[in-house]
Amino acid sequence: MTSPLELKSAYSPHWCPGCGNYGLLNSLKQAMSQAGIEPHRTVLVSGIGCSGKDPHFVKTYGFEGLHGRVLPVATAVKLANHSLTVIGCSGDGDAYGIGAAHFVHACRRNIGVTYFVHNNQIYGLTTGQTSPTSDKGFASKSTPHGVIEEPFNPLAIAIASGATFVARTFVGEFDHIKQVMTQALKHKGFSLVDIFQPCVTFNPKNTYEWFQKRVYKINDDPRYNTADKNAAFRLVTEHQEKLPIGIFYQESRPTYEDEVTQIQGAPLVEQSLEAIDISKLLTDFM
Amino acid sequence: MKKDLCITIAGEAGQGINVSALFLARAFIRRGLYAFLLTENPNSIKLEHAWCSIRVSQEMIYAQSHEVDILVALDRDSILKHSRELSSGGILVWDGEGIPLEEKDKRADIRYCSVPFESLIKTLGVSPLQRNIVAMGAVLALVGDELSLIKEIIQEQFSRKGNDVVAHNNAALEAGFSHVSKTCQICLGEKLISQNTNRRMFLNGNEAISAGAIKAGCKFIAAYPMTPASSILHFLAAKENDYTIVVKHAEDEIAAMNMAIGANFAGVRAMTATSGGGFCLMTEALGLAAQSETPLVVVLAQRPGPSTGQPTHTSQTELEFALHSSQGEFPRVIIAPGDAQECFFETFNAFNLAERFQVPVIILTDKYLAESYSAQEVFDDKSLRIDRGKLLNQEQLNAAGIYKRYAESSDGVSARALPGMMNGLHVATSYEHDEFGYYLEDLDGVQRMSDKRFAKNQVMANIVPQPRLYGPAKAELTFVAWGSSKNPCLEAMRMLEQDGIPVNFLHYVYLWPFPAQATETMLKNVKKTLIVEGNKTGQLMRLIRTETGIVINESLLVYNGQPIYPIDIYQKVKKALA
Repeated sequence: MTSPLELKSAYSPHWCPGCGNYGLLNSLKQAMSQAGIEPHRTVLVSGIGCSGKDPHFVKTYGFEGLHGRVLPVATAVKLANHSLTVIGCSGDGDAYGIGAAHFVHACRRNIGVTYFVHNNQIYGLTTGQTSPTSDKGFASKSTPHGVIEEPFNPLAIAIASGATFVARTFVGEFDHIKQVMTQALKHKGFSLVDIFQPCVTFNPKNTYEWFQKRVYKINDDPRYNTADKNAAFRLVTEHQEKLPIGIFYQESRPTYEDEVTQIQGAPLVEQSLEAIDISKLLTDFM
Repeated sequence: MKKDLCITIAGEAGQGINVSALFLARAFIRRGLYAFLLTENPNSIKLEHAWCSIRVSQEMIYAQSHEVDILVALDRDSILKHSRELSSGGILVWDGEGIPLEEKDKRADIRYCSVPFESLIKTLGVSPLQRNIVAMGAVLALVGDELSLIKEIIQEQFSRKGNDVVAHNNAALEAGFSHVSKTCQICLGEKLISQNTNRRMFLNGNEAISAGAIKAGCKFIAAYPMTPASSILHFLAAKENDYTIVVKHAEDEIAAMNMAIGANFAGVRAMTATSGGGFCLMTEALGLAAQSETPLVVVLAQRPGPSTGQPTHTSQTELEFALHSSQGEFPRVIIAPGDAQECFFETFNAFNLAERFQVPVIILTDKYLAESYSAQEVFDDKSLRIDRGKLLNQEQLNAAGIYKRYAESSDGVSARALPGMMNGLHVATSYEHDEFGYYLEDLDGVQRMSDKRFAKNQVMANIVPQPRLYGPAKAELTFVAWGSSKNPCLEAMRMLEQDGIPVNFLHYVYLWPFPAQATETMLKNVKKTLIVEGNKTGQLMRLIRTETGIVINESLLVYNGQPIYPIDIYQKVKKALA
């Protein structure tokens, strides 16, 4: 088993002191270790934002692409070589703002990608603008008089779009985050883990204390059934003062890569390119 | 007697015009003749006007003709729109019962051959959709051919739909054929009937590109439908099981391009194909491929813009766009094939170049090239070799010591390791980075990495094929053109030759890195130059001037959405040399 320490890259993180990403990065490495992933058989795909830096700090293969385009890259990596573990790292802007279309389609596609969304309800890297998950009324540089829209509901959208693993956790809950991330990594198909992760520099509202007062763990209740889609949908859509965290919904469904018949024999990347016989193809043009 | 014939079939979209034109042309091809098929479907919506033009000859032909010998008009609108294109002595085939023409509306210099499509179909009890099959029979009678080859094609195409369907089609075919044989004593095609059995292919540019991609080992295509690129997606999707290709119809072009990059990063040869509007959405990711040094092949099939423009027409307006698309500066390759042969071989080469130099390669085509069919000798693919460049295998990687994905090198290309390999861990990134792929903010380093990438440009410039000169070394005038203008230029060159006017033609397939030295050498001593381009601003003309200082003398710029007609070039030359 690869230890979390062995997953540390030669390059050191440089987020703001106290940033929730430090805890998230540690949990990520612990979960990867627990899930038994092999570094050379793992690709961490990220976009742009504070979350986008993750691949630099984890000793696996990494691809740090464009803002919002984590899932198309991750989807293709998985289709090109479905023997790899493919992990996506996004922020709330990356996943739910600019990348929202890809998010919806990845959910319905059930591609084997584990998606960790670092949700701090603010644009941190660009020095503090409102994000799709900022609360209604939240004031920032881009919405000085308060945001007018309702916040984006990633869990409800994921469930409605057909995601097969939908969870939320909080970096302040060390065991919980590690456990949920591990479960997500072990899930077959697309998994979303929305992770509350305070931005200590630009989001004065949603702080560690703010979250600690509100989060409660749904899976502590033995009656909670993660296979009940309607219950999960009710829970993530009803208004409440408290913030539920845990695995909301999980189902077993064939993944996209399971249903692509061309790659059932071997991963696409192992196909030979040499001397491909196209004579039949050319004869058909006659 | 003319040495070649042009047959136009016109009617409403949904009347099977494309199918009948393609079947007819293929029958001529099997006869050992040459053919060129231009399709014009201004709108895919049923009932809108559409037409196809088949030119057929015993000799090699390059392009469509402006003069029509047989016009099959399946509705009144087609008579109004196309009968003026009929050359003197030409024949109008129409349903004289359904569409009575008054004598005063008839042209004195053409012949009229009425085929009662409606009543023939009623008598046979077949579907009104088979008017086009009746029309094929009529045309074959007019050109003095017989029905065996076309029946062979009908059998091949319709047998899986059942014997009834084949029988109905054959009946419709024979009805058209025998009606014309009995009623019109005209035969236009004596000289066409060739005994040559040399079989050729008949295919369009998109099919040739698809075949080239398959041969090159392209195993992944992600695309979003957009005319005129969509048929590449369709073609590869139809072959996905035969050649083990994963085809992803993505949610949008941004996803398509990022998927193509992701698959390439993982070690699979991958491409995307789109038109200008889709390419607009892809440009950010074009730079991602360049910065992360991920190989990438993208087909940009042009149509007239700006914006939605003329979706089903043709243009050559995106050379400058392809050259400058995406922010920042980076090396790229731009290839503009001129015909189906070049579409096949240059697509194969595009995949090699993309991997060898780890750069984005843009294949620049247009509706005219993508959708027009021509006769081609069977592609000789025996000498084609896959070149994956500096792609390491596990043994090489084990021997490499500390692996640096972006190690500096004399040609600017660094060795590639793929996810899944031991000892090759790295980050590929959209940020400026050091040799390992980690963030880089040291200013010297930034400049060094940019120089590293640009080192590829020089090496590529030395190895990519140079523009090719067609025709005599000495000429009164030299055409200069790129991409799909090739065939109209070659055709015009032949027309001028017959008039005793020596012209030659400099054709560019590889447009970037720009072959400045070859351009200077070739254009330095010519008498007069004429640029032929499908755009308003003369984009190659300006590029030549920017790169070499050479000023082109004359220009023929066509930007009405139509392909360039050889006759227009011919007339332009006559005027320029007068």
